[in-house]
Amino acid sequence: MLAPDHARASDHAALSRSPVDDSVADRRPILVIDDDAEILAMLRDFLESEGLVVRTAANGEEALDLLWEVEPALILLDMRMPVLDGWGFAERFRERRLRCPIVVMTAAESARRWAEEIGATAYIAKPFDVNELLQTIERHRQKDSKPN
Amino acid sequence: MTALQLVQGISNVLFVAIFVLVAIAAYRRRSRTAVDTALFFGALALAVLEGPVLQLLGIPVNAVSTAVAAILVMALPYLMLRLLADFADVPLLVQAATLGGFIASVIVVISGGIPLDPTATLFLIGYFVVVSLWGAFGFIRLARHSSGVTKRRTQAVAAGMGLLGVAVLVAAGSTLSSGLAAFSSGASQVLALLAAISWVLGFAPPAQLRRSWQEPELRAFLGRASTLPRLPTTAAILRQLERGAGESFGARAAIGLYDPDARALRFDNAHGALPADVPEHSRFLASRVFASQRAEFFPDAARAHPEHADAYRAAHVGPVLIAPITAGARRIGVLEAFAAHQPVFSTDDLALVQLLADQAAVVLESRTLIDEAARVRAQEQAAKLKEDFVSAAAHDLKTPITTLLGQAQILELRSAREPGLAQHQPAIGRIVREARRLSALVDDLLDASRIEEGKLEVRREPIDVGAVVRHVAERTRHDKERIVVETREQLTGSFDRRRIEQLVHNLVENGLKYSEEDSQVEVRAWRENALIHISVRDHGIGIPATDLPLVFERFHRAGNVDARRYAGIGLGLYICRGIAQEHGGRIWVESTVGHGSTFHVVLPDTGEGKLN
Repeated sequence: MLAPDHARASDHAALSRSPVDDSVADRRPILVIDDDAEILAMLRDFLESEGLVVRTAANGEEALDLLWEVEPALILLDMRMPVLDGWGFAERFRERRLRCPIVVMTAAESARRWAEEIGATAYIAKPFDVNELLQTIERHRQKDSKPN
Repeated sequence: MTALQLVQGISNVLFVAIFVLVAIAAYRRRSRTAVDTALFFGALALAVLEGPVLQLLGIPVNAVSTAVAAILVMALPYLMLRLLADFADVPLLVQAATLGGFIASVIVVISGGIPLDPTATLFLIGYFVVVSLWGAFGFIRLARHSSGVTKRRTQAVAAGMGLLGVAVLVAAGSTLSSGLAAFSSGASQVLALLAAISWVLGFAPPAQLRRSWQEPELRAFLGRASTLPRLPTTAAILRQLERGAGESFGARAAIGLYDPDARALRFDNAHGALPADVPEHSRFLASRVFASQRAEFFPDAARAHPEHADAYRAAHVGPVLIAPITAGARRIGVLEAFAAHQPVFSTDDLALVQLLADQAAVVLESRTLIDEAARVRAQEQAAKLKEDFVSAAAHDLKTPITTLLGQAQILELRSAREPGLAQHQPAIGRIVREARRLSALVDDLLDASRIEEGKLEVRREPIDVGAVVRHVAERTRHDKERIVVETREQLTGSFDRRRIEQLVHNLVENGLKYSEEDSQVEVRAWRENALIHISVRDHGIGIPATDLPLVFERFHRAGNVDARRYAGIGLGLYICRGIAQEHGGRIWVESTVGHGSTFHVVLPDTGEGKLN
């Protein structure tokens, strides 16, 4: 069952600590797919500062290329994108039998329905609360990383 | 009895029959035209009857009877011209010359005695033939300018006139050359019969023939009528209807539409005979027919409405046919057909004008419906465009707001961790709060737009409304201590969690916003049979009675709300109502100015069905 990943805890409680523990920080990257360069830059900056490895792609096509060489711990997926959108990406992703949690990240009200449509693990609505985002990533990313 | 005698007998019977018909018509409606028609056929009937009647009475043919018959026959050209003058312009000189010719003929017949000498005979025949043919051509011209059944009947009359002239010419041949006597006598009898048949067709056509003559014009009019409602303007439709009606009659036509505001019939096509606005209850012929709702024929407009006679004469309006244009109970206007001269056959035309008026009613009524539909559609499109615009703009705002809010929060996180940045915390906090407000505003705009279009998605799942209410109170960012929650029981129902949260949140935020900072906002939730009841009570400024019915409308803000003091654009309660209604429930408010307001929401927990 798909649950909305809205952390309702007080913001200040979340602010006081970093939800990602640096000591167990994973080497497998978080793949962020979004056509908005500002959002990509912001998320890369933020997630890296939280000790995560980040790879970015501007659309589904770029992401699929990237997936030949990286095996992400989690994918943050925008749905409406040029070239190849979220649905197209998910379809090709499944065709390649890739396995990785996908969190749909969209401004649309239909976020939940779209997430169900593509069999995503969770969804988060834009504009998101960064603490919620961190908690969602932490909850769903694969932690059984392969040793380097 | 020879064949020739039979022919003569038939044509004589026909002449007499026509006379009887037109005499009855003239008796019923004593118009100049009817009288002239009766005179013409009376002379003809008497001329042909004289011989047989004398024979029947045993009186031998004598000089007097022959002279009377000759005078009656010689009267025919003059009477025919009089008849023509009733329908068309005949120069006065021609009328005078014809009358002169007739008087000369009478003098010749009386003074010369029978048999006439050849010169006199030649004069009489010449006069007769010239005038009848002139008359026949006059009717042909008349036929050319008319249309429909009128045209056919005028053509038949013209043929009758022409044939009579030729018959007399041929008969005259016998007096000039005895060798031709047998032939010309027979030929003239046949021509006279043909003339009689033509006149029957012209003056009293059988109903079936009349209908078939009407058909082409009517068919053309109706065919055109079906496309008329699609014309760009009502004025264009009126012009086409007027043209079509005019062509069907071979006359001019005008349509007056009733304007209920002006209480007048409005004639766009000012033809000079009428003012543009004819008052509803006036002596004008149009308003009389509009009042009686019965088609009427006025042989002479000037006589029917003497006060306005000068205008009718100036505009060359003689006879007028008027029919009401009415669709069901809706009186739309009148259709007028009018001519400078009397149309030859007004009885047929009365039924025709009503038929055309009925058709005009159908056309105009469909036009009204099309206009109404187009107006509604345009309104809907404009509203849709506005909704689309707001929704597109709000969507486009979401991407920059995502970066703005995210980046501000990241800074907030860092400033909390790094002592060097602590001094910026209040400023960063303000950016975060304002970005959140901006984000909430965009969400409200989108929600309001969805509600307006009936596209608010409701995803039901079993939730405990009491828990939702407590949760909303807990996550309220400010003034949390002012909120008093009272929920005793388990209030499980099938609702959209996010939307119910939003509903309670909006009401609580409103309560906090519009009351003093030390007053409480009481939130209660309980079950009443199959209903979940939520109430939010504040002790704030209250809502004036005049605003109570409107507080749930979009962008409405009560009169006692100082917009500078209380931020907001008036969407919160509209969204609350939309959410309640989408769940099959309802929302209302009780309020006293200065004492506070209590908002009530009831939701049926069946998950289906609406509240009454």
